[in-house]
Amino acid sequence: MTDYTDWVKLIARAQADKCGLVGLSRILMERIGQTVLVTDKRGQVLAWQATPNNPVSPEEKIHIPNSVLKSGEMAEGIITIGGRKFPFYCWPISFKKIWGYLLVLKGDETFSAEKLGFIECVASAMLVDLSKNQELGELKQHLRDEFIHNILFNNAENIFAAGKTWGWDLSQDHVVLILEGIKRGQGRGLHEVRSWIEAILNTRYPGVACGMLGNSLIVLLPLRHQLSENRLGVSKWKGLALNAFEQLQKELSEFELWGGVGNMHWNTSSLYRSFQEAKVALQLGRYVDKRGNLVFFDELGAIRLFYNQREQDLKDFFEEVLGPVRLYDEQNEADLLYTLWVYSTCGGKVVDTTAKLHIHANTLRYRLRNIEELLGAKLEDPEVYFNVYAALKVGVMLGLFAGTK
Amino acid sequence: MAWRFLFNPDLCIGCRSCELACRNEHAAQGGEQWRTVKEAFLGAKTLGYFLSLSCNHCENPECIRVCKEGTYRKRKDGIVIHDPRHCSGCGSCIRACPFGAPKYSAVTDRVSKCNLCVERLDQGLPAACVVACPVGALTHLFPNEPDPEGVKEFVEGVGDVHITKPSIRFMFTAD
Repeated sequence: MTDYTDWVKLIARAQADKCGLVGLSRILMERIGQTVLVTDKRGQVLAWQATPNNPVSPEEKIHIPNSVLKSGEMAEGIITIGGRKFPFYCWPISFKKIWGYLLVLKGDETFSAEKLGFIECVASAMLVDLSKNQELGELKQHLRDEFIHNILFNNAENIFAAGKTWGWDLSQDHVVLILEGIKRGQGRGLHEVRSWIEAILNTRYPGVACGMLGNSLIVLLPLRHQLSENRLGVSKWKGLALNAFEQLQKELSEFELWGGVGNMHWNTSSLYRSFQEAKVALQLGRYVDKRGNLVFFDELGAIRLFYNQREQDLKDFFEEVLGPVRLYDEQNEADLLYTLWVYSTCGGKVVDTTAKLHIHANTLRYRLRNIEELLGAKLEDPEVYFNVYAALKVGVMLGLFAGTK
Repeated sequence: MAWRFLFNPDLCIGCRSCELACRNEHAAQGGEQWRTVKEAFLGAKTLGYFLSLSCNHCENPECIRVCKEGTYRKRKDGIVIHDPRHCSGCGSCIRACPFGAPKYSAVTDRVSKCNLCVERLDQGLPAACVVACPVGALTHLFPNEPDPEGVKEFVEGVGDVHITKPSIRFMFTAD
């Protein structure tokens, strides 16, 4: 009992001395004479202390066995470190939720109840440090988000110096990419996976700056080499955004992702303009452009002309051009507007349209003839087709008819 | 959430006190009329109600996007600020804003617009137009204050431009 009381006192003093996870691991290692590892809940190694006769150095992240993850209590298992296998005891460090894991590599001996008591006592002490670490991490993330917010709303001063404190070289040109996503079947956003996304992007694009604004994840992708504003440059920065987005889509397969990319303004102090453009691209692209989930502002085309028009003007335009078709659909429970929309998005190709609509080519021709009769004009006429196409886009944008089935 | 105006058309009597207070408060910045009271007609000639409008401090402000001089910025509390020191008076923001909020001043040869009386808000005082409203039709909501129940984002007479996401909210007494 005295031994245990002394042990508790030792731990308490060490904590008061701010020795952290590394110090606590060392105290434990010295006491039990075994290698000790501390990880967060994902297996990221936060601290370890190896015994002098068994010097192991773990990877940055270790795989916590499923038996441990499932049990939620002290468990045994075998772990591979540096190509060698070690039996271990593992204690979840938890209070209301799992904060991390304490692993002790076993030697030949079996731990006595007293030793197990010492270890569990340290595990509880580590809880305090883990929660402190997380709090610090959250504060850092909050401050980074604030800084990104300031850049994107043109509020920042000394951008370059402030960027350096976060490890970002803002003197380089950056592509602004806005990401939004929903976990399929659960409706949850990107908040829970933002750290993971940042890690993925950081590996591939060192110096990438990320920040969360509401439900959107803002990504500032650095262009490694200064590119001049020419065709080659355009294809390069677009390619960069496209690659990053495709990689994220692959990694986050359980998420439906959307992205918007603003124009390059070749000037860090104009990032706020790129950001506004990326927002518009994301919103309009989501409603209208079905070419893909990543939309570039400069590829929005004529839709850009609509987006700051009054809704009533747009509705009037839709009614003037496609009113008779909409009315026919309503009265006859037909699908002419949707047919016309698919026909337009397929570039007027009969084969593609029929495949998408699952109808026969003759049915499509019949419907198109019907539409032409209702419009009182031929779709082949470029003027008519332009108006019809524009009205269709307006209709989808305002939700006057569904662009998907 | 951001600082935003809350306007009740049922209460507004069209006295234009808000307009006057706004001009008084910001006379030194070119004297342009940032706030206007207009009539909203329901049907051909039936006057529905009055609307008191100025900058809506949109979530996606077009003025910020189009300004090449970096004149505009959006504070963390949502207020869109125009800094006349950087303004060249080119007028691109005037043309871009779907609500016509930025105004050109022939006196200063620059643009200016409603800043939600940011200096007053920072001192804990309400905006001048809000103080001047004798019937309480015009108020504002704090950044962390949720929208009251039954508020509308658009009403007849206001350009319903969804993409810029104006922050102003409307509430009718009858609702």
